[in-house]
Amino acid sequence: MRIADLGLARLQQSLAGRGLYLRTGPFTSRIQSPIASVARGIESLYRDFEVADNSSFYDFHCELRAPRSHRRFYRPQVLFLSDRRSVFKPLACQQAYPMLEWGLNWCIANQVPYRLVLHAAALERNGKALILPAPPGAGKSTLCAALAHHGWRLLTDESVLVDLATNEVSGPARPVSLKNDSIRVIRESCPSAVLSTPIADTLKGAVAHMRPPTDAVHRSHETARPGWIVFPRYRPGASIQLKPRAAGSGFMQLIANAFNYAALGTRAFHSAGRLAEESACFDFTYSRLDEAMQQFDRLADGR
Amino acid sequence: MSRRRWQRTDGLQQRTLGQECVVFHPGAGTTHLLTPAAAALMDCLTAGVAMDEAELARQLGLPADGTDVELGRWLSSLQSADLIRGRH
Repeated sequence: MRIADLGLARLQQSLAGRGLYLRTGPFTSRIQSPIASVARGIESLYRDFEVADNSSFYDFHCELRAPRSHRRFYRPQVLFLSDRRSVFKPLACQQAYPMLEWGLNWCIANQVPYRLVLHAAALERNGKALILPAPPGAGKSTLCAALAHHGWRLLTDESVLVDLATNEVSGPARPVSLKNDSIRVIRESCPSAVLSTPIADTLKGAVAHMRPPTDAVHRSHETARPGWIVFPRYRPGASIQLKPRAAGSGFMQLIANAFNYAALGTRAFHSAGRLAEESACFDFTYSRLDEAMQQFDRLADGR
Repeated sequence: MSRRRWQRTDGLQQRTLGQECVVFHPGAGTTHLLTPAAAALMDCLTAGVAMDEAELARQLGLPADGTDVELGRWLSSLQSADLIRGRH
């Protein structure tokens, strides 16, 4: 069964009761929340995702609820709990849905011990993975959202999963987080993209999420071979530039973007090493999304 | 030329990536990108075997003039990263 088959009323019932068991790629998350905006967000953005039955094994247990204090009534707030432990400061209640997304990101970054997890976006074409590691503000999610609507299959916009034994690349294909001006940019460049209503005044500014394309969700269990590692940088007014980068310094930048490198130690070192060996590494500067799309098409076609 | 002997730290993991070399120190949890010269020096050192500086210089094909300064700088930076240890 998929979220779209469940309907809003049953979805709300599951969330408010024993929890919704949501499958995203290799993970199952048990999500509990009585908050209506969380149910609406999941219904709109996760409509193509599978629901597991509520006796399944789950990887993450997430709960969003009001704090047990006066702040449930006065300027209401929301807490994110992982395994019944609050892991973030409370936020204003209208930020409940983005908080779910941030919380799920936190779970993957902190609770996955059997894969190398990179803070990066990733897409697939012809069986090969394009990995885009970058700090916030580099234009990674904007590029990722646009590529996901221009011939590339979305793997993830946030958490790349690398199998420690095979080095196959995958991702949970969850909604893509867009901030501030990138919301307008994606609305204009990808008219078929479904975006949530932007939430203003979050710590990251205005935030909206893009529904992942249906095909990407249905194929979220398919892995990809390492193909390209591209370090993107958005610079207003800059000419487009794709510059090869030496594998060694690419490796160092890659591990700087790994969430669990220190925890995995030697296994992560060799996994990231193989990834850098098997991929072509580049630095990429851009200012115009249409030019960037063409550049990535040329890269995929070997031109 | 110093007769000081040098030995590679136990347990290091090393990979060559193109022209570059990266080393992971499991004990410290640190990773280092080595210059080609430092990587060549590390390659000379066999695990568990100490080698003196004169032999290292010979294997690296360093010229006699100024050898001490250049080799000394590489050894010092590798030592400060705990990738090699000096033994008298």
